[in-house]
Amino acid sequence: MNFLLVKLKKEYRRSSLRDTIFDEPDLRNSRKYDPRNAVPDCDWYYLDNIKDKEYYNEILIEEDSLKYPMLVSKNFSEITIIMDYHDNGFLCIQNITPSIIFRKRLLQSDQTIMLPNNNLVINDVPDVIYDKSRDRLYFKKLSSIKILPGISIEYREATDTEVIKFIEKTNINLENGYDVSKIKIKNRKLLNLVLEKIESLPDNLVTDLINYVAKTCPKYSLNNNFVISNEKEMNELLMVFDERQYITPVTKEKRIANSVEKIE
Amino acid sequence: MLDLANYPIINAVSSTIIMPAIAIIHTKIMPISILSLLSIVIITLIIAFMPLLLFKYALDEQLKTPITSIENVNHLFLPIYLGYFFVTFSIPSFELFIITYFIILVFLSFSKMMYFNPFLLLIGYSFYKIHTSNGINVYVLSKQHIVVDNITITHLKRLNDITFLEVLE
Repeated sequence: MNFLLVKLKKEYRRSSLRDTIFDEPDLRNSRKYDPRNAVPDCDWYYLDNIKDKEYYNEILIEEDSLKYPMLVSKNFSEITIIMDYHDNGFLCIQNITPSIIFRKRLLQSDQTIMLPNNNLVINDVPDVIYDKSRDRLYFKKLSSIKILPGISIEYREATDTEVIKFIEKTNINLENGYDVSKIKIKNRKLLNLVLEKIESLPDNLVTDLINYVAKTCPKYSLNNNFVISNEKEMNELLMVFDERQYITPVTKEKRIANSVEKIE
Repeated sequence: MLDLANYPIINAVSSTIIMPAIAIIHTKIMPISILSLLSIVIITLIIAFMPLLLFKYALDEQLKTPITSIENVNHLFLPIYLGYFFVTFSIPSFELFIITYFIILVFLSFSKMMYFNPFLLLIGYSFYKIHTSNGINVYVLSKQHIVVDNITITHLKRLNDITFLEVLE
């Protein structure tokens, strides 16, 4: 059975609309979301295993429509999100901003009319889609997932504690007045990704990686340590750790990759 | 779409139609004859069963979380029905009854109350109070003799935000 829920400021309500309002778009060309992929070359990104994450919200798999009171017209202006539950387990979500709820005059070809009641614009394509059977969340931009407020934390920049953890693991010394507090957002985001990568590697690969970085960036390495004194150097070092700044094996060309894509 | 849940007045009138019917007979506002009695009975029955007639327009609901407890609460309605009768019999004039009835309808329309329609009991419905593991507490009207816990109910129609009627296919 399909049904439509709306999120108001603090509660959810059910709309009396019977039909679904979104058609499922073509999701065949979707790609797994990777923050390193700077070039948007597909319409839809996806993330899997949403159920195990901290930011998961059970409303994504809601089936009990009768839990929710009816939406009445006085609630209309408080709508923040509309959730279109389909029979096949797909949930299509659109975020609503105050600007798309309107009560205005419309100009038709030969007259102006005033639409009764409140109206809101439904887009052709939803902002976020959740597939219950695969536990997969589809979206075009990470920032449009307002139904799961904590999700951007997953891709956030590193906190000071995490920065310290990273520089200890990799034997980095910060010099010349450059310290943990001076590391800025761009590097922190990159640092977060690199730290995740390092923590997922076995110890021997971590040592290999550190040796590789030392070999690729001899100007920063000194006696088994790395010495960094500004943002630019930190950025370069992090890019090498992420294996995105590298020297090609045969022609020994120095390269930097702005956008990478992992092939399974 | 005539959603019963969006027009609480239909529920309010259909569950209390016994009151005006009794008031008309009791205060003798209409001349008593076989014809008038028959027409009162027929109109009362039509209005009382109106929610069933309007069913196909009511909003579909489902409950997929298994039910952890079911309690038959028919006994909660006896005082209410008696209240309908006693109130109606104690009002001397039809005009006074109209005012009282109007106030009762206003209260019933604006509050989320259980749906006290005695006529549904006559045709075999029972009231159940249902509780699920995730904290849902609703009233369900059903013709089935439900005793077993841990079942799911898939075909329901919303009468108001806390009362639902089970539709058997």
